[in-house]
Amino acid sequence: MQKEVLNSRIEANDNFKYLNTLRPWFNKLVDSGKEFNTTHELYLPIMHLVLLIWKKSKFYNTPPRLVVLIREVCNAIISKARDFMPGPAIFQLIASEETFEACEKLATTIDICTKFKDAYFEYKAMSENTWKLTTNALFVRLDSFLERCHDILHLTMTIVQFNKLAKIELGGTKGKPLTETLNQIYLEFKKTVEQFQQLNYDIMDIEIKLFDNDFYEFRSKIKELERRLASVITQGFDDCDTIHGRFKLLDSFEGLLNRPIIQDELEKKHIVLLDLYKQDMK
Amino acid sequence: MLPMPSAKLVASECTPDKDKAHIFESSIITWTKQIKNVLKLEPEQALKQGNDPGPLTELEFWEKKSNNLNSIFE
Repeated sequence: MQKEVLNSRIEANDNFKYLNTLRPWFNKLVDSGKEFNTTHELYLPIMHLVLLIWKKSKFYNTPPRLVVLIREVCNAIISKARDFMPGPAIFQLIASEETFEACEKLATTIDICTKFKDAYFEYKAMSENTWKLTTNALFVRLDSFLERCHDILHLTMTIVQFNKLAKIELGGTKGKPLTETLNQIYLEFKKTVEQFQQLNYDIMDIEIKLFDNDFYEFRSKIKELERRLASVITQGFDDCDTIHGRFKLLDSFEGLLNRPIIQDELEKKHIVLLDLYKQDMK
Repeated sequence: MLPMPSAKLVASECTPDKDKAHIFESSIITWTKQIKNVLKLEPEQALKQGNDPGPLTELEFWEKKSNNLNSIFE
């Protein structure tokens, strides 16, 4: 046992000595005063030291050690990201019609988190095939956080796009009933969002799995509205008789046209538009 | 951090040698347990507890473990 103590002691002292070189960087990483959108500047120095430690140290060079360290770095990044864009703040931005700002912040969050994975793979490539780790286990938490961010970004983008409906008015012979249908869709959309905002938990908390169900329901409802919207747009399109009017119509739905269901429906109309354009050219 | 057996009991003339031996024996058993517990410590435990610790936890872990083992050694 004395030998065991001696060996462990040498290992622990050695590990601590090497890990201490990371301390200033880890301190910066968890420092709440540091801007979140500069966090990625720390990734390369951190990974550089981790690789150096891996190469130089006698003990801190095994997959289990690296797994713990990387997973803990991921935890720190997630925690910073949640300070930067807390769940309740997203609902507040939506309520105060600043949803676009939430979109931007979520995109930044996704970018900063993804960059850490990039940095890891950059250094993994430099480890000369010695970092034989299953990446899934390493990034399991960061990945599910990223997935959540993508979901919430989908939500906020949807809100930004559907908010366009408030201002659209269609002309033509069927203009009035179509505009009424649009208003109806918009009202239902707002109700769906309001319902979603009633959720009494932090939507950025990945431990809360209930979110997946709630978000699925939200998406199903939105898909139904999208199909109805696609139908209004095609009807409006057919109702227009000039190419100018048709372009104007499509222009007013800009943003919404990128949504897959609407895009599918409108694809058929592209050929019609092209044919009309050809005739105009003659 | 390793508890010493009661000096009074061990030094006392009234304590029979057999009991003294017993006291030392149980001290050694306690020490062995304590030392084994320190040796057993793994950094994974922090992650398993589910508090999502950051990387400074890893530094603290090795600092604590090395302090513990250093003091045992001395």
